[in-house]
Amino acid sequence: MTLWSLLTEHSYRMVLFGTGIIGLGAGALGAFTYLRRQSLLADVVSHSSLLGIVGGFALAVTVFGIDGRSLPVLILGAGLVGLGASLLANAIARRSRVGIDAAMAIILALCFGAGMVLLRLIQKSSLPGKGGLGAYLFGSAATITRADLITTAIFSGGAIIVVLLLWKPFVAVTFDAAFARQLGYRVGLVDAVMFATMVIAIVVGIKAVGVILMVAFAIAPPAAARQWTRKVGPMVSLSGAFGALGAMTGTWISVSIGSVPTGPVIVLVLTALVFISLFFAPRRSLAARWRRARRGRAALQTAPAATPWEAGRS
Amino acid sequence: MRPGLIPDGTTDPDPLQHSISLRRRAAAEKGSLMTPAISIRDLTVSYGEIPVFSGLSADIAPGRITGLVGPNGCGKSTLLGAVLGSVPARSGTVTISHRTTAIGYMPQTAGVDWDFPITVADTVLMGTYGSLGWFARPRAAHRERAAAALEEAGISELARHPIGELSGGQRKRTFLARLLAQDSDLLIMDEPFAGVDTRSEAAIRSVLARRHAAGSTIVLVHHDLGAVSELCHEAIVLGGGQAVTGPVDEVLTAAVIDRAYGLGRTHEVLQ
Repeated sequence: MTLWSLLTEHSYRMVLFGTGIIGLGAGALGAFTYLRRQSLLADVVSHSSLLGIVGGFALAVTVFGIDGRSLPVLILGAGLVGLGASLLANAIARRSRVGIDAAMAIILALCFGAGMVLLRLIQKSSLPGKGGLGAYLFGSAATITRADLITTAIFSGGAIIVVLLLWKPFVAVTFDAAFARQLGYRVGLVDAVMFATMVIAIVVGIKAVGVILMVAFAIAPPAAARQWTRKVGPMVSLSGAFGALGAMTGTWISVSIGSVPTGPVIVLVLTALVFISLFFAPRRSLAARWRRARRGRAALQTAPAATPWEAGRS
Repeated sequence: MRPGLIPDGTTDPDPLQHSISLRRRAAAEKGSLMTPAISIRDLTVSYGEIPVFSGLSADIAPGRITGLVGPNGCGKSTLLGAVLGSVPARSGTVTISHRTTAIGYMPQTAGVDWDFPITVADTVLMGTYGSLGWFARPRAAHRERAAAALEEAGISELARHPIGELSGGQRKRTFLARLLAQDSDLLIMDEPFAGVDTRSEAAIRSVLARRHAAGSTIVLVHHDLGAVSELCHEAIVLGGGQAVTGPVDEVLTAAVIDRAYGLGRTHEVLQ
């Protein structure tokens, strides 16, 4: 498959740009959860959203009588449950002696388990359109339509615009919440908006990538980008770029090979990016550390008799 | 002679010492008629069911340097948190009077992720965000204010370094510069001298002297009681859920210290 035919064929183009936009948004927003050392929060959101998806589907079909599998319904259901789950995990950690890691794991398992139970109940029911619901576990990038692409672009773009507008409070609260409060920012409100944008960036990708692997879109790009940068702005930009490029490269590879699913291939590409960055980025990588250690040993060996303070002078 | 006790009339080369002896006289003249900069009344703070302190009252005098001392776990940081608004009070009030700007705050360095990708200059620039609100971008004037703060803290040459490369003392001075960039006249510093070398300590002391001379109200937590009696005019001794406040000469006495720390021999520290 040449890049040209990937760009000219309508259905491939939808998948390529769809996954690219998903990667851009999740990568950029994932940088903030990475910097808060709450990367697992992305997993809480994506796993929990299964409950929102099937719950939203059931409500949409039974109460409102609309197509329960349309992307806006999915984003709304998954977003509300995902946001609730992430806020609940933080509230548990703040108000109890349970740590944030354990709180996130508890909420994740609870919502995913409830989602699986509800999914099985719906699959055994007679609700119309229930057939494709199971596909949200692993996603199917090939089903991205033009309407999906537009919806994804609107939501991801909106999340990125919020980040750009609220850049100062986002960075201040992420770096030092106690100090940000003294600057006059309402930390709880900034947190809620930050979680909401992150939830949106993740749930838009669930139809294409699935609730299980979507977390990689939010964790791998920032982990890779951190290795190459020393400022927040470049890190968030590079993380978004890594997410978009990784997703589009993975799509290309998966379409070229033909019989492999797109989402998992993208995850493999993103993971490769992380390993390349861990080993070869300047300054922070393992290679740089080895180089420094070797230089240090060489310096010690050339001046064996010198005392440390004399060695420092030469 | 014990440092800090300078007989009236001598000209001391250290500006901080000099200003402190002047302030002591000024305060003695004015007495306690001034409105306190911070007034704490019947404050009770508890974590869960365990009270950190209850019914605590203290005044912090404007334009003076107040040292907050007490044993580990007595609630110094909790009290600062209640004043700053980050720790909710169960009952009681904290009143901050004639406050024109936000409180300048220098937290302990331990609470921050030092692997965060940010340079010293950008960390200090963050101090100006308070006057920028939620949306505005920093302009040249704000960058100049941050540069001046870096200069005053003596770390201009570190401006472009990532904070992860700093030593303990340089980290303290970065937070000091950020507090200065806030341009506030009410400064709260949580252990500014913990783990710093002589050079950083001198830099922080000279900043204290200049800010004091400019009329700022300063509250700082410090574990070295000898240094508190030398640096500060007033002290709040916290311990056993109670606070004893007043001029350092009256408060940092063997009896008060012994009771707060629950020890019998602490007075040796002061001699």
